[in-house]
Amino acid sequence: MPPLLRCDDLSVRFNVRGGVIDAVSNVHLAVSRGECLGVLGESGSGKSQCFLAIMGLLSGNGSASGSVSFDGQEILNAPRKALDRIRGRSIAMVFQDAMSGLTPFMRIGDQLTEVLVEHMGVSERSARKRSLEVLEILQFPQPTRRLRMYPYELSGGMRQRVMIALALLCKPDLIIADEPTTALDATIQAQVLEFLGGLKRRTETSIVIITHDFGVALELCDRVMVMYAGRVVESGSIADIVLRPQHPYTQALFQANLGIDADPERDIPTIPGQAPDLQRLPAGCAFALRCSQAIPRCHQLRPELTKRFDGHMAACFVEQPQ
Amino acid sequence: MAAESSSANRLGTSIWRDAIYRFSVNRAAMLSFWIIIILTGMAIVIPIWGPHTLDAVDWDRILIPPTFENQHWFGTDANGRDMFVRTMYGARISLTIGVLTTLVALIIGVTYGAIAGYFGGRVDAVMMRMIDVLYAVPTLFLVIILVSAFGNNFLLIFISIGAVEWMTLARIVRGQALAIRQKEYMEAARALGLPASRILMQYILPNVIGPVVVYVTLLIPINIIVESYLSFLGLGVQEPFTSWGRLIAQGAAEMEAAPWLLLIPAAFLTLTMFCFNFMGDGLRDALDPKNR
Repeated sequence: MPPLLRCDDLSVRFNVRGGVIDAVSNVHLAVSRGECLGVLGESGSGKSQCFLAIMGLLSGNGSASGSVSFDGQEILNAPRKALDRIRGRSIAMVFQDAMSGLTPFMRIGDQLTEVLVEHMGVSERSARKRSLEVLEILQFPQPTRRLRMYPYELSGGMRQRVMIALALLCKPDLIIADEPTTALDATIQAQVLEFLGGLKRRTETSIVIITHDFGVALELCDRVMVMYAGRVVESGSIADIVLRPQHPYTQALFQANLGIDADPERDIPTIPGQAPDLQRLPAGCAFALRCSQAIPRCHQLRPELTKRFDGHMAACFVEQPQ
Repeated sequence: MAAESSSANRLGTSIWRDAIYRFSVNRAAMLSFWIIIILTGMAIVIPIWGPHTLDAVDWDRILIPPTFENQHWFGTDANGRDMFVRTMYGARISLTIGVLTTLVALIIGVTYGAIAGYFGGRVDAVMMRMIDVLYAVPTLFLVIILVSAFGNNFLLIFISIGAVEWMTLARIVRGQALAIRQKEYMEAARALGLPASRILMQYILPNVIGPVVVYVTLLIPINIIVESYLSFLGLGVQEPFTSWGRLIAQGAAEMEAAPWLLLIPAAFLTLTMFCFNFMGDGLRDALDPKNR
């Protein structure tokens, strides 16, 4: 069975004053039905831009090249009308910032039903019913009453759930969640993750989770893709990524993640240095300057993404124990 | 504290209801609001049921100062016509022109600005440069050309004023739209596959309405003034009809002999300006998102 979403050689560039920024370079990825892919990376690693490009939501100075097919249909740089038939209906996106993701002048109920009326052509009334249904699934307290409220009257957690409800309304095949839990407190974060996990199990919905939190990826994902400076540096199953990471960046990222049993006396492990300037990428591996295992070759040549073992790829010259 | 708990108790309170509440506790704005309402009511009623008619000449009482005699409360003009009725009739014309011109400016300006701001980029650049060029032409000059080209028609006067005053509104709306375009909910709307027309109507317009409403209350007095100096120049309303501008012009001619002919309409014009400006201030405070 072909993958639901397939992305070949996707690159994203931004024209800025003083040159171009290669935000995403040569990304290949595939998401099958019912699969959950985690995209890990720090801020500015291109993980969000990669999926904004797929959705056709790049800002005006950005351009995408390569190929993206969704359900067998080419959607990269497709005309807006074609995209509007897919966006919100077959592919839904959950944004990071629940505080500003809902338009302040419309009641929650209207924002929800609008999407259904637009895509499904259903009546206002059945749209309202379906909205209530979704909010109830999300364990939204007092949904009937809150449908009449404006976003500013809801808490951050409730707003985030409205955003997720917006994504779920039309029963999409793919949900792209861009840091869906970053703005939430820990308890609601857990609820949202649990819900997404349940959704994946019950329906054949594919999920892409963009995050910088290893914990989130561990909770939900089948496969993980690690990005650094716009490139995929490692990809593989979640178990392999955690147990035998092949790229020093993945190892460092994992070490920087604090567990619940972290020793409060100990310094938090960090990755020294800063992410490179995307306008002036070094000739070699972008991570080499911060890498504790770098060898001279790392600074001259860029390692390609190569197969390490079954279903696992990494872009590094240094051999790691398997 | 009290305000906080009361706003929490109000169920599903809309931003507008909140704004109305904040406006209603602003004394200056509320007073201004009622003055405008009363003035509007009088402007409608007095010319119909007033003690005199607009062009009735009282041959025995020409150019008399304000008096109770024969109900000439504001006196009479050089033709013996009652100033009270004439001032109220002037209010009728001035307020109507103020509101209608603003409406014309509103429709053109908001549409133009929202389109430029929403589409941005080249569309925006071209549309805004056109405004810059039009801006460079003096307003009065343009209106005079329009009025002398199309003649002295009541309808044409406010269309031409409105057609000149829309540019600032377009700029305000465009600026707001540009700012809103960057908001995440705009991206979310696009990610939900909503068409551009819907985004424009439901996402952009409601968000620009605050500043627009405020500017409108400031534009109404500006347009009343524009009409009044057009009338002052003899390009506005024609005899026997009158507006505040015309009354002031006529009053100015007789200033030394009969100062009330100038002072009364001028006082009404000033009062109206003040009221609209106070209302604009009140609305700005009421709709300011920072207070929310």
